Amino acid sequence: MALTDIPSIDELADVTGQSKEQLRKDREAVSEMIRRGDDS
Amino acid sequence: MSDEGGSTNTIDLLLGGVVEPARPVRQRDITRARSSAYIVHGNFRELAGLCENISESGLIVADTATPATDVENEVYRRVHNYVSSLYSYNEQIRNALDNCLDVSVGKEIFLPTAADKSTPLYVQRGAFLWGLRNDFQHGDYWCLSVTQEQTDSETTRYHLRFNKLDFEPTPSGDADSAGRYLAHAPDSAYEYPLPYFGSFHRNLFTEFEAAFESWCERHRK
Repeated sequence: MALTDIPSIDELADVTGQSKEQLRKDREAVSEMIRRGDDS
Repeated sequence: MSDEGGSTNTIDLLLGGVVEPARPVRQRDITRARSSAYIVHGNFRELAGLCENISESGLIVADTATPATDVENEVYRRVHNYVSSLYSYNEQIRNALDNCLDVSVGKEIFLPTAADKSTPLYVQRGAFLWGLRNDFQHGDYWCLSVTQEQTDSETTRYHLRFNKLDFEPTPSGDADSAGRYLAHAPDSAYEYPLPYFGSFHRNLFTEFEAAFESWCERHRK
């Protein structure tokens, strides 16, 4: 089974009303948490 | 705490006034809050995806061939994920504030009393969502029901409804103990939770997240 239906920043901004700039920061934060194992 | 400066920042309002942190806001706490917010946004997208327009009618649209039980289960799953992730986000905010302030920031900051009208609308309206999260965790979510409204050969529309008498946000489970979770909006606002979620997320959650960013930026310098 393939992983599908992952939302883009544009779609999330449209649905949630949050700014794209903030959503990009949020998405980067998730990546950072994963990469660093939250030991920063 | 003092309120000199007349700040309108929601975090300042949450803290009861402008409070200078004793320590700089930690970057790891900001990262945790942002990553939690991203999960909340994603879960809101799933909730909104149930509906024609979550902020207006909140009507859930499903193929008529889909069994009503499957629709109901999917609605509960998405509501559970949204309110649980919102609770986690608030905990990240509380921990971030607790780590940089000299005053202790307890969980009750997100559950104002009925008499406390000075807390931000985000907190007032969020109290109901915290109660739903508790109901899912400790109760049996009988307070929610999915009812069929309209059907034709292709689509069936449903409403998610809330019943105050079956709301059990605390272990004691009685209506009186539920009071603080329902004190900040008229009963009619809770009747159809999906439009409530839509308004909360698109107006109050997004603003609160931006206010936290602004507050952190002010106190990193």
